[in-house]
Amino acid sequence: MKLLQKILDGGFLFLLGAFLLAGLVKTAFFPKELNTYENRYANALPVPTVGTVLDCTFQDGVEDALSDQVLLAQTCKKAYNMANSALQLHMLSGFIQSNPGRYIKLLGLKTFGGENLVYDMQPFPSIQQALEERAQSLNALMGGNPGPEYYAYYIEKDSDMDFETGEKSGAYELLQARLDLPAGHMARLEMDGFDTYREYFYKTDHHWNYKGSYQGYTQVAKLLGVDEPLLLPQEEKVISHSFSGSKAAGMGAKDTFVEDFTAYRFRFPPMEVWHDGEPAGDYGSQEAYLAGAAALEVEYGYFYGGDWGQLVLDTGREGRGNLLVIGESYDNAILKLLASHFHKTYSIDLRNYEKFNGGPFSFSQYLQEHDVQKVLFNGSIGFYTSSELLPGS
Amino acid sequence: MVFSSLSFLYAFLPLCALSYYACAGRRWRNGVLLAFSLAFYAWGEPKNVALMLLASLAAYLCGLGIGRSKKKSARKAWLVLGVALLAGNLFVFKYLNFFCGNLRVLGVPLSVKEIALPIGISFYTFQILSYVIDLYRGEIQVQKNYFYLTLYVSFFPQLIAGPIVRYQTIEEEILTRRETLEDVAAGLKRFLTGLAKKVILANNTALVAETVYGGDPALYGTALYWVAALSYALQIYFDFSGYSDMAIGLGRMFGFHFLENFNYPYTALSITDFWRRWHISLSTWFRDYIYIPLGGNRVGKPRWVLNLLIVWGLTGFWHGAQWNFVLWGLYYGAILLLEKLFLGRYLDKCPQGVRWLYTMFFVLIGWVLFDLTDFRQMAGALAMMFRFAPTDFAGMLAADTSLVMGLLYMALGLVFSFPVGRWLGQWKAKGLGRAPGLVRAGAAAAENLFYLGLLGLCVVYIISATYNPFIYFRF
Repeated sequence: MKLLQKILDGGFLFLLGAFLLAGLVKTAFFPKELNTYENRYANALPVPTVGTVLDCTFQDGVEDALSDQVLLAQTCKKAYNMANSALQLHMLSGFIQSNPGRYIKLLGLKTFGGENLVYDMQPFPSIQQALEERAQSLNALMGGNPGPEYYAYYIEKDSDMDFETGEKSGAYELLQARLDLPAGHMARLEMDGFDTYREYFYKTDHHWNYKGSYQGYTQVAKLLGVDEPLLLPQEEKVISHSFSGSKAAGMGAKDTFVEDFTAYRFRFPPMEVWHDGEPAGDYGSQEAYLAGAAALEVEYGYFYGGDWGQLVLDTGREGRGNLLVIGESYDNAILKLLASHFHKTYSIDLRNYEKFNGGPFSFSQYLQEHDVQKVLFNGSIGFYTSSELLPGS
Repeated sequence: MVFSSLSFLYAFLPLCALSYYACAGRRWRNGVLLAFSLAFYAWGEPKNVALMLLASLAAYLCGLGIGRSKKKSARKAWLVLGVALLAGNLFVFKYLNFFCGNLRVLGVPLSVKEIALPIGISFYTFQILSYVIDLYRGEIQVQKNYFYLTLYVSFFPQLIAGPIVRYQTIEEEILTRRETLEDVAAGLKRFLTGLAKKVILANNTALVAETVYGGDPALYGTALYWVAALSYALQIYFDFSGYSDMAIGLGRMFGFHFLENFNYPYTALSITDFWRRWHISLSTWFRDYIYIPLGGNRVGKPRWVLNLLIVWGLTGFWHGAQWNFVLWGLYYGAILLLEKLFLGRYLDKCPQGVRWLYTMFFVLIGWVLFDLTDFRQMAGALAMMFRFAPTDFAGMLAADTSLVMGLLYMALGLVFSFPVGRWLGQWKAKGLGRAPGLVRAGAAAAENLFYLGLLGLCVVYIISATYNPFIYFRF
């Protein structure tokens, strides 16, 4: 028995040691580049310097690298998140369903209406300064580049309204009062209650859904003075019954909170597409998903197109003028729709422009290089308070 | 570095164990342990390694002085020097800011640069002090090798959170310990038990206390404030006893046998009993190095009362340079005094359930004093515990549903705060005592598999805490 015990002890120690060392070896010598579960680059072991060791950033980097690289790291996170979120939802679903008119904090986020994941309203004092500064910056920009016509579209969403009280943040009104735009050059997707939110936004993702974005397209087209018939949906189709968006992912409940991903099919005119200067076959994969031929599970960005620093859509329709859209990921769903009415549509996402286009974005230079007649600022509160939004030059 | 970090689990521990067992001689093995211990400390406190080495050097030199002095007065002088240097060091790094802050409140214009508290300074200072004092008392031999003394001081299992290992506990094992496969396996299992206590129970039972104390007081009524106190009681128990388990297990993996630091304190039937079971290495340290030298209970009653209050005031103060810790210590001093004076006699006649409830009642109040450093918040929490206020359960749940998970973990924690493991061990020993060898081997294999699973579970919890998805990202 003693010998057997020794063998068992030895085996136990060997297995445990091998498991841990394998994690270390993998992290040090075979690191993966992407962390697909968390949708980002995977952390790798940092190179130590005297400074980083003394201020402990090297040590923190090692911990981060191990958390991404050891054996089964992503499986661990996925399994834990699934079990944790499913258990919590199972225990609390009765409470959530029976309190539809109440914000309920769950896994770090909130639910409202029984099934929607929502952000808190951002109170006016918390956004006022940023909005004032960005408005000033945009005014300076427009004043310094008087050639094109300027428009702004603001997408109100959950962070613009307290659904319990009906109170609104007042962000749109402030922007409207501060931006030096001619009358009729600013509009919004108005949030007048939870029913509107439920109609226009995903339950598990922060973006507007197919109805919200189509409503946005019609309003923006009107704002821009599009003088031809708008594209009409040819078909409404459920692409997936298990779409789980960014909000669910953020709270570690990607497979627990799911919903239908529904989309309209449009008959877009032919257009050439460039992503960050490189020619591309299409922007997004709407046709592939609608035809059931897409390889990846549907995501907002995969379906409509990603957040390229610079996107050019060229319909070749001379005489329709060129449009420059400066915005964020909400644009993705309406860019092809808008582009259908213009010759060239340029879309700039300031969060990614510099990284993929060799230098910072210069508004004046861009206008000089491209024959732009109309400029549209388009986004939600995140865009209009972003520090990346155009330094006033 | 902390034991529940991935750096420790995946890099430090396997590399240290491999390097250690790759060396043959005792000196080499001690060298490996010393090098890894210094690296362990430097990982989290690179700038404070020198401070620990200097404290160790001070103890070493004073120890040599005590060892070489023939006259008692000279030995005493070395002792006083050693204690002054070490206590002074602790005072400067842990308490100076506190004293200056209080003096400023009293109108004394003192300005001292903010000093960061070096990790583990309270623990290693008390360890070193025990070496110097025991040496003076003639209870141990002088350690003539500075590196071995430094190994005792810096030995990573007990360096930053105890238990406070006295030199006499490991005096012989520094040079003559014997490592066995059984010890390594048993030590590792003990380590994994502690790790599970920390990452599964402590971190999650804390959710209720964090939610209640950090939330809107209007939502939480009397019942929830008591539950929050219990939540913190479970958190601190599993956190600290888990750390002690890990330290004891790691020590055993390298052939050292530390004394136990916890003995199911929440099964105590009086506060006196509680302190025999909670942080044993600290309470015995204060007993042996402060209480008894002050005269203990072999003095007149007024002096004895004073001794007790001094010891418990210091015990509280040792936990942190804040007044709430002093209050917490004195609170226990007062209860112990009452128990020793008359309450204990009545308690002995009560049923066990009553004694347990009495103990937990005062322990929970004690943890509120300990947890809430802000006196206004503390007073508010205590008032809520004793002035009935209903709980808005729907509002409370809506405010943060993580409370429910906290309550689930608390139920688990309550079970494991009783000697379930010990009962299972006894049951297993009894059941397997006469079983055939194959059955016992099967049970041993199952136990090993259980611990491998426990490691896996702990890793899942640790890694999941780093979940950090990026919403806006394009590959």
